[in-house]
Amino acid sequence: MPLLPSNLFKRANAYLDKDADDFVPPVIDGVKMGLGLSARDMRTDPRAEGLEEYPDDLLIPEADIKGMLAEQIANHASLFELRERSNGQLDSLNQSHYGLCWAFSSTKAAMYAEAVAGNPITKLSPWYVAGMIKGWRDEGGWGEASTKFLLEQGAPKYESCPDYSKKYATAEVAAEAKKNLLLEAWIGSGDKEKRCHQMVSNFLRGNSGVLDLNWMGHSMSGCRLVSFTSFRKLEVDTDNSWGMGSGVKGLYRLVDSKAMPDDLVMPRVITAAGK
Amino acid sequence: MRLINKVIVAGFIAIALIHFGPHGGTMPFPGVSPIDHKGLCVLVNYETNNLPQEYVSVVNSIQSGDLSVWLDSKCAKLEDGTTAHRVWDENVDLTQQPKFWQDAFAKRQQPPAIMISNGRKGFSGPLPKDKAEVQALLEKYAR
Repeated sequence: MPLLPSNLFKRANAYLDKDADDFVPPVIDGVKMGLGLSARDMRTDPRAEGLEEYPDDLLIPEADIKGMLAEQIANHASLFELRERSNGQLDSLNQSHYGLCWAFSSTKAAMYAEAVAGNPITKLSPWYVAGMIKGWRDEGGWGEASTKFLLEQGAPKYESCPDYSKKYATAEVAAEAKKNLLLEAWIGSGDKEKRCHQMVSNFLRGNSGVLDLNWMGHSMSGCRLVSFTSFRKLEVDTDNSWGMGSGVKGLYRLVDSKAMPDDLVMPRVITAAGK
Repeated sequence: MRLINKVIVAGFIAIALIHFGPHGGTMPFPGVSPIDHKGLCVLVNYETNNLPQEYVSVVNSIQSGDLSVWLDSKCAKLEDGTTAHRVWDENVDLTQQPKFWQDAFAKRQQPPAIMISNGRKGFSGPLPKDKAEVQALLEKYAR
């Protein structure tokens, strides 16, 4: 099985261990990568209706987390390994300089939901999701909004909307998007520590999650729990949307408080689309 | 057809319906292929919204871990480019999937359950909680 060398994440660690104030999106091929998470005020932008919170029954008791993580590692059973074996189909997406991370994170999480089911992996277009929500303006947002769009409208294949242009907003593309409808997703708690517990449990159950991180002003798709001491002392790997040339093959490691999302959405069931 | 033959045929049909109806019985039914496709095919159905914790490890392994790697190497290669193993939530939409998957899913057992077929015979029953038990079951029908 093609596993990565154990020191693979040293570079990501060095990069992300900086203080939040030092965080600067990299310049890749002359393009400064974008962010795009809008800080959300729940009083003026409350939760969308109809989204179910992660059930308490699915929370892994804190005492069991280390054991289950050890088992997941022994079984090579996280999304990280699935990505490594996907022959490039789950490579990191690339938002380029646009402030549309919030659509890329949820779209990638939906692709992970396809992959864990064993379905053919369809590379989906986050451009379409963001464009249809924002009227093709380059504007910030958050993961819940894009997830709700994926639940209601779906996303077309990437090649049907390969860049950020309203010329792709056609009836044909809308119909194709419906074929990749997200069917179920959970949202995280309003309480930060419980939200972190939900995220950890969801990773251990083999699912992805959309992590909105105010300290970075960025949203990313989470792909595994790496280590756990407590809900405030943990390491999480995320699949970023700055292409494969950033971080470690597109992956970034978040540590301790920086790994605690300010908002969390967890897509889990997607239409089994044909190839 | 003589009456006795009709009774025997009706009996077999009744047994098959009991064993393979949606969320029907839980016993394996050797001698019949539960998935109508050649080669090794495996279908796990579960409910993401209430999967008991004791099943998490084995489901993880089938979805993305060691068992997934094993299944990739042994299962039938399909026209869509995947190998013939799926792990589907009870509420998945399969309208775009080939008929043999739709038919198999319609015959699924109460979740979490597993269906294994090698085109000649197979198994349809509860998903074991133990990874080694699942592996043994898979190897039995992969031969």
